[in-house]
Amino acid sequence: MQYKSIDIFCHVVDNFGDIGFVYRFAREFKQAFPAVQIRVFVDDLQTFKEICSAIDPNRFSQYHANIEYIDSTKLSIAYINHMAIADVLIESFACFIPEPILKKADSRGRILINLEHLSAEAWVEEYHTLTSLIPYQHLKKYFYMPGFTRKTGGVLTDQRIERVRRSIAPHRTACIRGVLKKYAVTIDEHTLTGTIFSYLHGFDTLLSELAALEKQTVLLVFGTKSSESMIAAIEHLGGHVITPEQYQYQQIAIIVLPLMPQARYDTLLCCVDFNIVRGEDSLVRALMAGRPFIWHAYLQEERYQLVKVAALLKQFEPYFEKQEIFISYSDLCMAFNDTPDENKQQCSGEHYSLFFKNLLKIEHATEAMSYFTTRNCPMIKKFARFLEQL
Amino acid sequence: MKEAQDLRVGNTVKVNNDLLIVVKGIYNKGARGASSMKLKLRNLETGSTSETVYRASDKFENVVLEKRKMQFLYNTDDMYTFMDQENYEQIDLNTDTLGDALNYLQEQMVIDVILHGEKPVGVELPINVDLEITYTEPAVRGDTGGKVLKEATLETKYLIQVPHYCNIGDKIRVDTRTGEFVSRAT
Repeated sequence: MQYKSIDIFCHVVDNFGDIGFVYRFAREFKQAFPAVQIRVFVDDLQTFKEICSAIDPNRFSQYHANIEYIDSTKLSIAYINHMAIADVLIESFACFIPEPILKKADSRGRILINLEHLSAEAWVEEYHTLTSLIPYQHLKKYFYMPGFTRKTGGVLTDQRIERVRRSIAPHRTACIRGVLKKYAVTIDEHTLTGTIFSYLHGFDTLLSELAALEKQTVLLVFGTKSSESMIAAIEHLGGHVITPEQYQYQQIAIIVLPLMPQARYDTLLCCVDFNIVRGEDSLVRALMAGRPFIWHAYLQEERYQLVKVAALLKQFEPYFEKQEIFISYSDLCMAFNDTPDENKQQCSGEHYSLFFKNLLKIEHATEAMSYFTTRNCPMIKKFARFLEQL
Repeated sequence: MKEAQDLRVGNTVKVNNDLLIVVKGIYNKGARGASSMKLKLRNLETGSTSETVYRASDKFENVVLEKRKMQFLYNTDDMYTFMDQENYEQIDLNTDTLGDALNYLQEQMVIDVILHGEKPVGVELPINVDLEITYTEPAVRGDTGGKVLKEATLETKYLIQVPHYCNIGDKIRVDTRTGEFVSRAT
């Protein structure tokens, strides 16, 4: 099909994953296809502003990087009646699109696509691009399923992270120093550095095992859940509060940072020695950053997150040169996620010593998977091809 | 109205005046609890089938067609013979009509055969059926929580994921909507 415009709908369920993904999708699509008009309807501009500082949460409509952003909480029937409906409508993560918009899209025979969450599970290939019969005469709906294989909708690779990763490599330490300049922490090339952006999780074991390495370490902690969890662990272990943002446990300096704009966070992901990330969007960004990472999957009933993590590890396994290194990494990732509910007490049985010992080899595997994914599963190209073939 | 996640083989729904019967249904959990249903639907008028996918919470107009209680007697190749429990009339259904019901069908089982006019168009199964495991690897010592799954073959030849503590000869309860293990059958 020929298309000139895309409307993307985004419902912010919790935190930054929904709008984070939609923001990157819209931006990457616009970069690849500048002639296509893109409009994003989002229902939480305040959250959006936290990852894109150019956004004014008080405006109904605004342009940023040639993409129009609309506050969907302020949509009126009058506006809908007068707005032009795009050729393609995307409901990100099966979000709700107002009925009057769907009716209008139906009357014009548009395409509706449910852009789903990323999953490494095998069933995704079978679901990808299937139709969904809906009670509209002319509106056609399809499911687009992102995934890590060629037969899926691919991964939202990020050209910017790739460029940053290459260019920042000689300047990693300097970049981290820049982030730390407000704090009384000094680092050099030998300092072990990591970022933590997780759901609630006990970090006692992480801190204890880092302490046992007897290596100068700096942890950069983002988000309320990560910082609450980390501060609880520091209190358990008898660490010290230096300021409300800075803590010390043995040779480990822990800095609680405010959330950063997406671009700065992505740069930091490329600079540190390891990242602990949460949710699907940060998972992809950690992968693109090419540094060793631990993925904290969104907790689900009956520990279903373990199925998601195991599926990711299955995709990751071929990139490890040595089986024993993969097994120890896999054990750590599974143990990290093996909790029945979100809890800032230590309740999972992960062990990090082999992770830190094998950082370089895990980095090679991460870079290799990132390389394959970028070359073979680029979501934007695949999505555009899918639209062309409709 | 019925949600996609509640549909099972043999249910009939109406979409844009088309009557569609569920031939196969697979439930999958997405990220953050957003689940989806893959449904193979057959159009009762045209006979054409389509593979489709839905949000688990998508709503359908449910259509109740006439049902008759029938007992599965036997099969020869891909024809399955059922007997009406009231008038003892026998009918044959092929594998296309039975769809995923074949995974759970045992001789002597009484199920609902769905009729569109006089024509049998499908079968409706109970939500849960009890089936015996005919093959699985031995249990792994230490896993008593049931979180680790392994493959098992049931008496209908259906392959299913079961907890490690299940053994050959165990009867298990299976959810026919999802095709998943529910519990050991008592």
